[in-house]
Amino acid sequence: MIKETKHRLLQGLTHTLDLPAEVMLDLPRTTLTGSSKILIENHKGILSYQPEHIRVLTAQGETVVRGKRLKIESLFATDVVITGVIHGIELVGLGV
Amino acid sequence: MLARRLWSYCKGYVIIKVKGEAVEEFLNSLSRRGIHLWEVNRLSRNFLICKANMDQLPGLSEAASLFPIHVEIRHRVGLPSIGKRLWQRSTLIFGAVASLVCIYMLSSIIWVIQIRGVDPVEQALIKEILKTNGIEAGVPRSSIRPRELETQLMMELPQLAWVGVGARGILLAVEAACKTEIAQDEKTPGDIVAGKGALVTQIIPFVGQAVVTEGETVVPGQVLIDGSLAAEDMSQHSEIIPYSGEEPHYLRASGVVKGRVWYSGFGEAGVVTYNRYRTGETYKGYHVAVGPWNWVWGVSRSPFPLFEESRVTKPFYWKRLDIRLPVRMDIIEFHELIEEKIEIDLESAKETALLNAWRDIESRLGPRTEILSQETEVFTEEQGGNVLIRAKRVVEVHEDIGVFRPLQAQTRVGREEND
Repeated sequence: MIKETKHRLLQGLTHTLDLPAEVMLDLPRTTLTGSSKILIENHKGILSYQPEHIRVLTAQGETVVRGKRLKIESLFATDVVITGVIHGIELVGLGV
Repeated sequence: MLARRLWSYCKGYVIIKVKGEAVEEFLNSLSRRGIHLWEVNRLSRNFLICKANMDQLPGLSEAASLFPIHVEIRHRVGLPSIGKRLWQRSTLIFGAVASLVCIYMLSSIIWVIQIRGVDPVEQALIKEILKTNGIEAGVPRSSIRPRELETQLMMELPQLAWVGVGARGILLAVEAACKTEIAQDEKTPGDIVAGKGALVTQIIPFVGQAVVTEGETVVPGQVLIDGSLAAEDMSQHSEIIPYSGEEPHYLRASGVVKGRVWYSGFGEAGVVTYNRYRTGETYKGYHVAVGPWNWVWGVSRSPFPLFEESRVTKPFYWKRLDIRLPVRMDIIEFHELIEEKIEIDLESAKETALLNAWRDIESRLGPRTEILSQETEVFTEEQGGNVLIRAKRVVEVHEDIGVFRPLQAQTRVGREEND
Protein backbone atom coordinates (compact mmCIF):
# COMPACT_ATOMS: atom_id res chain seq x y z
CA MET A 1 0.00 0.00 0.00
CA ILE A 2 2.79 2.38 1.01
CA LYS A 3 4.85 1.30 -1.97
CA GLU A 4 1.97 1.95 -4.35
CA THR A 5 1.34 5.38 -2.83
CA LYS A 6 5.03 6.25 -3.15
CA HIS A 7 4.99 5.13 -6.75
CA ARG A 8 1.96 7.24 -7.62
CA LEU A 9 3.47 10.23 -5.88
CA LEU A 10 6.69 9.86 -7.83
CA GLN A 11 4.71 9.42 -11.06
CA GLY A 12 2.77 12.64 -10.42
CA LEU A 13 5.93 14.52 -9.54
CA THR A 14 7.72 13.25 -12.63
CA HIS A 15 4.79 14.23 -14.83
CA THR A 16 4.40 17.66 -13.22
CA LEU A 17 8.09 18.57 -13.25
CA ASP A 18 8.74 16.86 -16.62
CA LEU A 19 11.57 14.75 -15.20
CA PRO A 20 13.02 11.69 -17.02
CA ALA A 21 10.83 8.75 -16.03
CA GLU A 22 13.53 6.10 -16.51
CA VAL A 23 15.56 7.85 -13.79
CA MET A 24 12.83 8.75 -11.38
CA LEU A 25 10.71 5.61 -11.70
CA ASP A 26 13.47 3.18 -12.71
CA LEU A 27 11.60 2.38 -15.93
CA PRO A 28 13.30 0.44 -18.69
CA ARG A 29 14.38 2.29 -21.82
CA THR A 30 14.66 0.33 -25.04
CA THR A 31 16.56 1.66 -28.04
CA LEU A 32 16.29 -0.26 -31.32
CA THR A 33 18.86 0.45 -34.04
CA GLY A 34 17.49 -0.81 -37.38
CA SER A 35 16.65 -4.44 -36.93
CA SER A 36 20.06 -5.65 -35.82
CA LYS A 37 20.76 -4.09 -32.45
CA ILE A 38 18.74 -3.37 -29.35
CA LEU A 39 19.81 -1.68 -26.13
CA ILE A 40 17.76 -2.23 -23.01
CA GLU A 41 18.65 0.06 -20.13
CA ASN A 42 17.56 -0.45 -16.50
CA HIS A 43 17.09 -4.19 -16.92
CA LYS A 44 16.82 -6.46 -13.92
CA GLY A 45 18.37 -9.60 -15.36
CA ILE A 46 18.22 -12.20 -18.13
CA LEU A 47 15.35 -14.63 -17.76
CA SER A 48 16.11 -16.79 -20.75
CA TYR A 49 18.74 -16.69 -23.48
CA GLN A 50 18.28 -18.62 -26.71
CA PRO A 51 19.48 -17.73 -30.22
CA GLU A 52 15.80 -17.33 -31.28
CA HIS A 53 14.55 -15.29 -28.34
CA ILE A 54 15.91 -13.50 -25.30
CA ARG A 55 13.75 -12.60 -22.34
CA VAL A 56 14.93 -9.64 -20.25
CA LEU A 57 13.40 -8.79 -16.87
CA THR A 58 12.55 -5.14 -16.28
CA ALA A 59 10.81 -3.16 -13.51
CA GLN A 60 7.55 -3.28 -15.45
CA GLY A 61 7.59 -6.93 -16.47
CA GLU A 62 9.70 -8.46 -19.18
CA THR A 63 10.88 -7.56 -22.68
CA VAL A 64 11.05 -10.44 -25.12
CA VAL A 65 13.28 -9.99 -28.17
CA ARG A 66 12.58 -12.45 -31.00
CA GLY A 67 14.70 -13.08 -34.03
CA LYS A 68 17.52 -15.18 -35.47
CA ARG A 69 21.13 -15.64 -34.34
CA LEU A 70 20.54 -13.42 -31.32
CA LYS A 71 23.56 -12.75 -29.19
CA ILE A 72 24.25 -10.72 -26.06
CA GLU A 73 26.86 -8.29 -27.31
CA SER A 74 27.44 -6.64 -23.98
CA LEU A 75 26.07 -7.24 -20.49
CA PHE A 76 26.38 -4.63 -17.75
CA ALA A 77 24.63 -4.41 -14.42
CA THR A 78 21.93 -2.13 -15.85
CA ASP A 79 22.38 -2.29 -19.63
CA VAL A 80 22.22 -5.14 -22.07
CA VAL A 81 22.98 -4.92 -25.80
CA ILE A 82 21.51 -7.63 -28.02
CA THR A 83 22.52 -8.09 -31.65
CA GLY A 84 21.33 -10.38 -34.43
CA VAL A 85 18.39 -10.40 -36.85
CA ILE A 86 15.54 -8.92 -34.75
CA HIS A 87 12.03 -9.85 -35.86
CA GLY A 88 10.03 -8.44 -32.99
CA ILE A 89 9.90 -7.07 -29.46
CA GLU A 90 7.22 -8.06 -27.07
CA LEU A 91 6.46 -6.33 -23.78
CA VAL A 92 4.92 -8.73 -21.27
CA GLY A 93 3.31 -7.83 -17.94
CA LEU A 94 3.10 -4.06 -18.46
CA GLY A 95 0.89 -1.90 -16.27
CA VAL A 96 2.49 -2.84 -12.94
CA MET B 1 33.15 0.10 -29.05
CA LEU B 2 36.59 0.01 -30.64
CA ALA B 3 38.07 2.11 -27.84
CA ARG B 4 36.53 -0.21 -25.26
CA ARG B 5 37.99 -3.24 -27.06
CA LEU B 6 41.40 -1.66 -27.25
CA TRP B 7 41.24 -0.81 -23.57
CA SER B 8 40.20 -4.39 -22.78
CA TYR B 9 43.12 -5.68 -24.89
CA CYS B 10 45.54 -3.46 -22.99
CA LYS B 11 44.14 -4.54 -19.62
CA GLY B 12 43.82 -8.15 -20.75
CA TYR B 13 40.70 -10.31 -20.96
CA VAL B 14 39.70 -13.95 -20.88
CA ILE B 15 37.44 -16.03 -23.08
CA ILE B 16 35.45 -18.29 -20.81
CA LYS B 17 33.35 -21.34 -21.44
CA VAL B 18 30.28 -21.80 -19.19
CA LYS B 19 28.59 -25.19 -18.98
CA GLY B 20 25.58 -26.03 -16.85
CA GLU B 21 21.85 -25.73 -16.29
CA ALA B 22 21.67 -22.26 -14.74
CA VAL B 23 23.64 -20.10 -17.14
CA GLU B 24 21.12 -17.22 -17.14
CA GLU B 25 21.22 -17.03 -13.33
CA PHE B 26 24.99 -17.04 -13.51
CA LEU B 27 25.00 -14.19 -16.04
CA ASN B 28 22.62 -12.16 -13.86
CA SER B 29 24.77 -12.80 -10.82
CA LEU B 30 27.83 -11.54 -12.70
CA SER B 31 26.08 -8.38 -13.92
CA ARG B 32 24.84 -7.67 -10.41
CA ARG B 33 28.42 -7.94 -9.15
CA GLY B 34 29.45 -5.31 -11.71
CA ILE B 35 31.33 -7.79 -13.88
CA HIS B 36 31.11 -6.69 -17.48
CA LEU B 37 30.61 -9.45 -20.03
CA TRP B 38 30.63 -9.10 -23.78
CA GLU B 39 30.17 -11.23 -26.87
CA VAL B 40 28.04 -13.65 -24.90
CA ASN B 41 27.36 -16.42 -27.39
CA ARG B 42 25.06 -19.28 -26.56
CA LEU B 43 26.16 -22.29 -28.55
CA SER B 44 23.70 -24.82 -27.06
CA ARG B 45 21.15 -25.04 -24.28
CA ASN B 46 23.75 -25.69 -21.57
CA PHE B 47 26.79 -24.10 -23.09
CA LEU B 48 27.90 -20.52 -23.78
CA ILE B 49 31.08 -18.61 -24.45
CA CYS B 50 31.75 -15.02 -23.35
CA LYS B 51 34.51 -12.58 -22.66
CA ALA B 52 35.35 -10.87 -19.36
CA ASN B 53 38.08 -8.59 -18.09
CA MET B 54 41.04 -10.36 -16.55
CA ASP B 55 40.98 -8.24 -13.37
CA GLN B 56 37.42 -9.41 -12.70
CA LEU B 57 38.38 -13.09 -12.62
CA PRO B 58 38.22 -13.41 -8.79
CA GLY B 59 34.62 -12.16 -8.71
CA LEU B 60 33.79 -14.43 -11.61
CA SER B 61 35.12 -17.56 -9.90
CA GLU B 62 33.36 -16.58 -6.68
CA ALA B 63 30.05 -16.32 -8.56
CA ALA B 64 30.70 -19.60 -10.36
CA SER B 65 31.00 -21.42 -7.05
CA LEU B 66 27.42 -20.42 -6.16
CA PHE B 67 25.81 -22.13 -9.19
CA PRO B 68 25.82 -25.69 -10.49
CA ILE B 69 27.91 -24.76 -13.49
CA HIS B 70 31.40 -25.38 -14.79
CA VAL B 71 33.47 -22.38 -15.86
CA GLU B 72 36.64 -22.85 -17.83
CA ILE B 73 39.08 -20.29 -19.17
CA ARG B 74 39.75 -21.06 -22.84
CA HIS B 75 42.15 -18.25 -23.72
CA ARG B 76 43.88 -15.36 -22.10
CA VAL B 77 44.10 -12.44 -24.52
CA GLY B 78 45.80 -9.03 -24.29
CA LEU B 79 49.05 -7.40 -23.37
CA PRO B 80 49.40 -8.81 -19.81
CA SER B 81 49.18 -12.38 -21.11
CA ILE B 82 51.68 -11.64 -23.90
CA GLY B 83 54.02 -10.11 -21.32
CA LYS B 84 53.62 -13.15 -19.10
CA ARG B 85 54.35 -15.54 -21.96
CA LEU B 86 57.42 -13.56 -22.92
CA TRP B 87 58.59 -13.48 -19.35
CA GLN B 88 58.30 -17.26 -19.21
CA ARG B 89 60.43 -17.52 -22.38
CA SER B 90 63.50 -15.76 -21.07
CA THR B 91 65.70 -17.11 -23.87
CA LEU B 92 63.51 -15.36 -26.44
CA ILE B 93 63.87 -12.05 -24.58
CA PHE B 94 67.59 -12.63 -24.24
CA GLY B 95 67.80 -13.34 -28.01
CA ALA B 96 65.85 -10.19 -28.87
CA VAL B 97 67.99 -8.04 -26.56
CA ALA B 98 71.19 -9.67 -27.88
CA SER B 99 70.04 -9.02 -31.47
CA LEU B 100 69.39 -5.36 -30.69
CA VAL B 101 72.78 -5.03 -29.01
CA CYS B 102 74.46 -6.74 -32.00
CA ILE B 103 72.65 -4.47 -34.48
CA TYR B 104 73.64 -1.41 -32.46
CA MET B 105 77.26 -2.51 -32.16
CA LEU B 106 77.60 -3.51 -35.82
CA SER B 107 75.95 -0.31 -37.00
CA SER B 108 78.44 1.76 -35.00
CA ILE B 109 81.33 0.30 -37.00
CA ILE B 110 82.53 1.59 -40.37
CA TRP B 111 82.20 -1.23 -42.90
CA VAL B 112 82.39 0.62 -46.19
CA ILE B 113 84.80 3.37 -47.20
CA GLN B 114 83.72 5.26 -50.28
CA ILE B 115 86.03 7.71 -52.04
CA ARG B 116 84.50 9.81 -54.79
CA GLY B 117 85.32 12.73 -57.03
CA VAL B 118 88.95 11.93 -57.82
CA ASP B 119 90.94 9.69 -60.16
CA PRO B 120 91.91 6.15 -59.15
CA VAL B 121 95.46 7.36 -58.47
CA GLU B 122 94.28 9.92 -55.92
CA GLN B 123 91.80 7.40 -54.55
CA ALA B 124 94.67 5.01 -53.84
CA LEU B 125 96.66 7.80 -52.15
CA ILE B 126 93.69 8.78 -49.99
CA LYS B 127 93.15 5.12 -49.06
CA GLU B 128 96.82 4.87 -48.10
CA ILE B 129 96.61 7.94 -45.86
CA LEU B 130 93.42 6.63 -44.24
CA LYS B 131 95.13 3.29 -43.63
CA THR B 132 98.15 5.03 -42.09
CA ASN B 133 95.76 6.74 -39.69
CA GLY B 134 94.24 3.38 -38.80
CA ILE B 135 91.01 4.00 -40.68
CA GLU B 136 89.81 0.94 -42.58
CA ALA B 137 86.75 -1.28 -42.64
CA GLY B 138 86.04 -2.46 -39.10
CA VAL B 139 87.00 0.62 -37.08
CA PRO B 140 84.45 2.15 -34.67
CA ARG B 141 82.69 5.21 -36.07
CA SER B 142 83.35 7.15 -32.87
CA SER B 143 87.13 6.92 -33.47
CA ILE B 144 86.89 8.97 -36.67
CA ARG B 145 87.44 12.72 -36.48
CA PRO B 146 86.22 13.99 -39.88
CA ARG B 147 87.54 17.56 -39.55
CA GLU B 148 91.03 16.42 -38.50
CA LEU B 149 91.06 13.89 -41.31
CA GLU B 150 90.09 16.55 -43.85
CA THR B 151 92.93 18.81 -42.68
CA GLN B 152 95.44 15.98 -42.85
CA LEU B 153 94.37 14.93 -46.34
CA MET B 154 94.62 18.52 -47.57
CA MET B 155 98.11 18.85 -46.10
CA GLU B 156 99.42 15.55 -47.41
CA LEU B 157 97.90 15.80 -50.88
CA PRO B 158 98.57 19.30 -52.25
CA GLN B 159 96.90 18.37 -55.55
CA LEU B 160 93.52 18.38 -53.80
CA ALA B 161 91.43 21.52 -53.87
CA TRP B 162 88.78 20.32 -51.43
CA VAL B 163 88.08 17.31 -49.23
CA GLY B 164 84.90 16.42 -47.36
CA VAL B 165 84.76 13.51 -44.91
CA GLY B 166 81.48 12.28 -43.46
CA ALA B 167 80.64 9.18 -41.45
CA ARG B 168 77.03 8.09 -41.89
CA GLY B 169 75.95 4.79 -40.41
CA ILE B 170 78.35 2.12 -41.59
CA LEU B 171 79.65 4.27 -44.44
CA LEU B 172 82.64 6.59 -44.41
CA ALA B 173 82.28 8.88 -47.41
CA VAL B 174 85.33 10.82 -48.59
CA GLU B 175 84.56 13.32 -51.31
CA ALA B 176 87.44 15.20 -52.88
CA ALA B 177 88.15 17.44 -55.83
CA CYS B 178 91.52 17.91 -57.54
CA LYS B 179 92.92 21.28 -58.53
CA THR B 180 92.49 22.09 -62.19
CA GLU B 181 95.72 22.95 -63.98
CA ILE B 182 95.51 26.16 -65.96
CA ALA B 183 96.58 25.58 -69.57
CA GLN B 184 99.89 27.25 -70.33
CA ASP B 185 99.51 26.78 -74.11
CA GLU B 186 99.16 30.46 -74.82
CA LYS B 187 102.55 31.19 -73.21
CA THR B 188 104.50 28.17 -74.38
CA PRO B 189 107.26 29.20 -76.78
CA GLY B 190 107.84 27.24 -79.94
CA ASP B 191 108.19 27.19 -83.71
CA ILE B 192 105.88 26.82 -86.65
CA VAL B 193 106.84 23.62 -88.46
CA ALA B 194 105.59 21.90 -91.59
CA GLY B 195 102.70 19.50 -90.84
CA LYS B 196 103.04 17.87 -94.28
CA GLY B 197 105.53 17.65 -97.07
CA ALA B 198 104.73 20.55 -99.43
CA LEU B 199 105.95 23.23 -101.83
CA VAL B 200 105.78 26.55 -99.95
CA THR B 201 103.72 29.13 -101.83
CA GLN B 202 103.17 31.79 -99.16
CA ILE B 203 104.82 32.57 -95.78
CA ILE B 204 103.81 35.49 -93.54
CA PRO B 205 105.46 35.45 -90.10
CA PHE B 206 103.59 37.36 -87.31
CA VAL B 207 105.99 36.44 -84.52
CA GLY B 208 109.38 34.87 -85.20
CA GLN B 209 111.50 34.67 -88.32
CA ALA B 210 110.75 32.79 -91.52
CA VAL B 211 113.48 30.27 -92.21
CA VAL B 212 112.19 29.00 -95.57
CA THR B 213 111.33 30.93 -98.71
CA GLU B 214 108.44 30.69 -101.16
CA GLY B 215 109.08 28.02 -103.79
CA GLU B 216 111.07 25.86 -101.42
CA THR B 217 110.12 22.23 -100.78
CA VAL B 218 109.71 21.24 -97.15
CA VAL B 219 109.40 17.93 -95.35
CA PRO B 220 107.11 17.17 -92.36
CA GLY B 221 108.58 18.56 -89.13
CA GLN B 222 110.83 21.12 -90.84
CA VAL B 223 110.93 24.50 -89.08
CA LEU B 224 109.14 27.18 -91.10
CA ILE B 225 108.97 30.11 -88.65
CA ASP B 226 111.58 30.17 -85.92
CA GLY B 227 110.52 31.37 -82.44
CA SER B 228 114.09 32.21 -81.46
CA LEU B 229 114.44 35.86 -80.44
CA ALA B 230 118.13 36.04 -81.32
CA ALA B 231 117.28 37.09 -84.82
CA GLU B 232 114.52 39.43 -83.84
CA ASP B 233 114.55 42.93 -82.48
CA MET B 234 113.31 42.65 -78.92
CA SER B 235 111.95 46.19 -78.98
CA GLN B 236 109.45 45.25 -81.72
CA HIS B 237 107.87 42.57 -79.54
CA SER B 238 107.55 44.23 -76.18
CA GLU B 239 104.04 42.75 -75.73
CA ILE B 240 105.28 39.17 -76.14
CA ILE B 241 105.72 37.23 -72.95
CA PRO B 242 109.13 35.55 -72.85
CA TYR B 243 109.46 31.86 -71.98
CA SER B 244 110.75 32.59 -68.46
CA GLY B 245 112.43 35.30 -66.48
CA GLU B 246 115.79 33.63 -66.86
CA GLU B 247 115.57 32.79 -70.59
CA PRO B 248 114.05 35.65 -72.62
CA HIS B 249 115.35 34.24 -75.91
CA TYR B 250 112.35 32.29 -77.19
CA LEU B 251 108.90 33.38 -78.31
CA ARG B 252 105.75 31.69 -79.41
CA ALA B 253 106.11 31.81 -83.21
CA SER B 254 102.99 32.50 -85.24
CA GLY B 255 102.17 33.20 -88.83
CA VAL B 256 100.55 31.92 -92.02
CA VAL B 257 102.32 29.33 -94.15
CA LYS B 258 100.58 27.94 -97.19
CA GLY B 259 101.84 25.39 -99.66
CA ARG B 260 100.99 22.98 -102.41
CA VAL B 261 100.39 19.44 -101.18
CA TRP B 262 99.82 16.30 -103.25
CA TYR B 263 97.53 13.59 -101.96
CA SER B 264 97.06 10.19 -103.51
CA GLY B 265 94.16 7.89 -102.73
CA PHE B 266 93.12 4.41 -103.84
CA GLY B 267 89.72 2.82 -104.22
CA GLU B 268 88.25 -0.29 -105.69
CA ALA B 269 84.85 -1.69 -106.64
CA GLY B 270 83.66 -4.99 -108.03
CA VAL B 271 81.14 -5.44 -110.80
CA VAL B 272 79.52 -8.06 -108.60
CA THR B 273 78.96 -7.20 -104.95
CA TYR B 274 77.22 -9.05 -102.17
CA ASN B 275 75.05 -7.30 -99.61
CA ARG B 276 73.91 -8.96 -96.42
CA TYR B 277 70.59 -8.22 -94.71
CA ARG B 278 68.94 -9.44 -91.51
CA THR B 279 65.87 -11.60 -92.12
CA GLY B 280 64.41 -10.77 -88.70
CA GLU B 281 64.77 -14.33 -87.38
CA THR B 282 66.66 -14.33 -84.07
CA TYR B 283 67.59 -16.74 -81.32
CA LYS B 284 68.69 -15.73 -77.83
CA GLY B 285 71.03 -17.36 -75.39
CA TYR B 286 71.88 -16.41 -71.81
CA HIS B 287 75.23 -17.06 -70.28
CA VAL B 288 75.47 -16.50 -66.51
CA ALA B 289 78.85 -16.62 -64.80
CA VAL B 290 79.16 -16.61 -60.99
CA GLY B 291 82.83 -16.73 -60.11
CA PRO B 292 84.26 -19.87 -61.76
CA TRP B 293 80.81 -21.40 -62.41
CA ASN B 294 78.96 -20.94 -65.70
CA TRP B 295 75.42 -21.68 -66.77
CA VAL B 296 73.98 -21.39 -70.25
CA TRP B 297 70.28 -21.04 -71.05
CA GLY B 298 68.74 -20.93 -74.47
CA VAL B 299 70.84 -21.21 -77.61
CA SER B 300 74.62 -21.37 -77.25
CA ARG B 301 75.48 -21.87 -80.97
CA SER B 302 73.92 -20.23 -83.97
CA PRO B 303 71.26 -22.37 -85.66
CA PHE B 304 71.66 -20.29 -88.87
CA PRO B 305 74.29 -21.01 -91.54
CA LEU B 306 74.75 -17.29 -92.19
CA PHE B 307 74.36 -15.13 -89.12
CA GLU B 308 75.41 -12.07 -87.18
CA GLU B 309 76.06 -12.24 -83.44
CA SER B 310 75.39 -9.48 -80.94
CA ARG B 311 76.43 -9.79 -77.34
CA VAL B 312 75.37 -7.61 -74.40
CA THR B 313 77.30 -8.04 -71.15
CA LYS B 314 75.65 -7.02 -67.91
CA PRO B 315 77.97 -6.98 -64.92
CA PHE B 316 76.36 -6.75 -61.48
CA TYR B 317 77.67 -3.48 -60.16
CA TRP B 318 76.46 -1.77 -57.02
CA LYS B 319 77.08 1.79 -58.12
CA ARG B 320 76.19 3.46 -54.83
CA LEU B 321 78.82 1.55 -52.89
CA ASP B 322 81.16 0.99 -55.82
CA ILE B 323 80.98 -2.78 -55.35
CA ARG B 324 81.44 -5.07 -58.34
CA LEU B 325 80.05 -8.55 -57.69
CA PRO B 326 81.70 -11.56 -59.36
CA VAL B 327 78.49 -12.16 -61.29
CA ARG B 328 78.07 -11.47 -65.00
CA MET B 329 75.35 -12.16 -67.50
CA ASP B 330 75.87 -12.23 -71.27
CA ILE B 331 72.87 -12.02 -73.56
CA ILE B 332 73.84 -13.46 -76.93
CA GLU B 333 71.56 -12.87 -79.88
CA PHE B 334 71.98 -14.63 -83.24
CA HIS B 335 70.43 -12.80 -86.22
CA GLU B 336 69.86 -14.74 -89.42
CA LEU B 337 71.36 -13.08 -92.52
CA ILE B 338 70.50 -13.37 -96.17
CA GLU B 339 73.02 -12.56 -98.92
CA GLU B 340 71.98 -10.63 -102.01
CA LYS B 341 74.08 -10.59 -105.17
CA ILE B 342 74.17 -7.18 -106.88
CA GLU B 343 75.62 -6.76 -110.38
CA ILE B 344 76.43 -3.31 -111.68
CA ASP B 345 77.76 -2.19 -115.07
CA LEU B 346 81.43 -1.35 -115.68
CA GLU B 347 80.92 2.45 -115.74
CA SER B 348 79.12 2.44 -112.40
CA ALA B 349 81.89 0.28 -110.92
CA LYS B 350 84.50 2.77 -112.17
CA GLU B 351 82.58 5.67 -110.60
CA THR B 352 82.36 3.79 -107.33
CA ALA B 353 86.10 3.03 -107.35
CA LEU B 354 86.92 6.71 -108.03
CA LEU B 355 84.54 7.79 -105.28
CA ASN B 356 86.23 5.40 -102.87
CA ALA B 357 89.62 6.82 -103.87
CA TRP B 358 88.31 10.36 -103.16
CA ARG B 359 86.98 9.27 -99.76
CA ASP B 360 90.44 7.93 -98.97
CA ILE B 361 91.91 11.39 -99.68
CA GLU B 362 89.09 13.42 -98.14
CA SER B 363 89.74 12.06 -94.67
CA ARG B 364 93.30 13.46 -94.77
CA LEU B 365 92.54 16.94 -96.12
CA GLY B 366 92.86 19.91 -93.78
CA PRO B 367 90.31 22.71 -93.33
CA ARG B 368 90.14 25.59 -95.83
CA THR B 369 91.69 23.53 -98.62
CA GLU B 370 91.67 24.70 -102.22
CA ILE B 371 91.90 21.99 -104.90
CA LEU B 372 94.21 23.02 -107.73
CA SER B 373 94.27 19.94 -109.96
CA GLN B 374 93.71 16.22 -109.95
CA GLU B 375 94.65 13.14 -112.01
CA THR B 376 92.93 9.76 -112.07
CA GLU B 377 93.93 6.32 -113.31
CA VAL B 378 91.64 3.30 -113.56
CA PHE B 379 92.78 -0.35 -113.84
CA THR B 380 90.55 -3.32 -114.54
CA GLU B 381 91.47 -6.76 -113.31
CA GLU B 382 89.70 -10.09 -113.05
CA GLN B 383 89.69 -11.84 -109.72
CA GLY B 384 87.93 -15.15 -109.05
CA GLY B 385 85.44 -14.69 -111.85
CA ASN B 386 84.59 -11.16 -110.71
CA VAL B 387 85.76 -8.02 -112.54
CA LEU B 388 87.50 -5.68 -110.08
CA ILE B 389 88.03 -1.99 -110.85
CA ARG B 390 90.93 -0.27 -109.08
CA ALA B 391 91.23 3.53 -109.16
CA LYS B 392 94.07 5.87 -108.22
CA ARG B 393 93.43 9.55 -107.69
CA VAL B 394 96.13 12.21 -107.15
CA VAL B 395 94.92 15.63 -105.97
CA GLU B 396 97.00 18.80 -105.76
CA VAL B 397 95.70 21.22 -103.12
CA HIS B 398 96.66 24.57 -101.66
CA GLU B 399 96.36 24.63 -97.87
CA ASP B 400 97.81 25.72 -94.52
CA ILE B 401 100.79 23.57 -93.72
CA GLY B 402 102.13 25.35 -90.62
CA VAL B 403 101.70 23.58 -87.27
CA PHE B 404 102.80 24.98 -83.93
CA ARG B 405 105.39 22.85 -82.12
CA PRO B 406 106.19 23.78 -78.51
CA LEU B 407 109.84 24.24 -77.72
CA GLN B 408 111.00 21.29 -75.61
CA ALA B 409 113.67 21.77 -72.95
CA GLN B 410 116.06 19.43 -74.74
CA THR B 411 115.61 21.22 -78.05
CA ARG B 412 116.28 24.50 -76.31
CA VAL B 413 119.55 23.27 -74.81
CA GLY B 414 120.60 21.89 -78.20
CA ARG B 415 119.88 25.18 -79.85
CA GLU B 416 121.84 27.15 -77.26
CA GLU B 417 124.82 24.87 -77.78
CA ASN B 418 124.59 25.39 -81.55
CA ASP B 419 124.37 29.16 -81.06
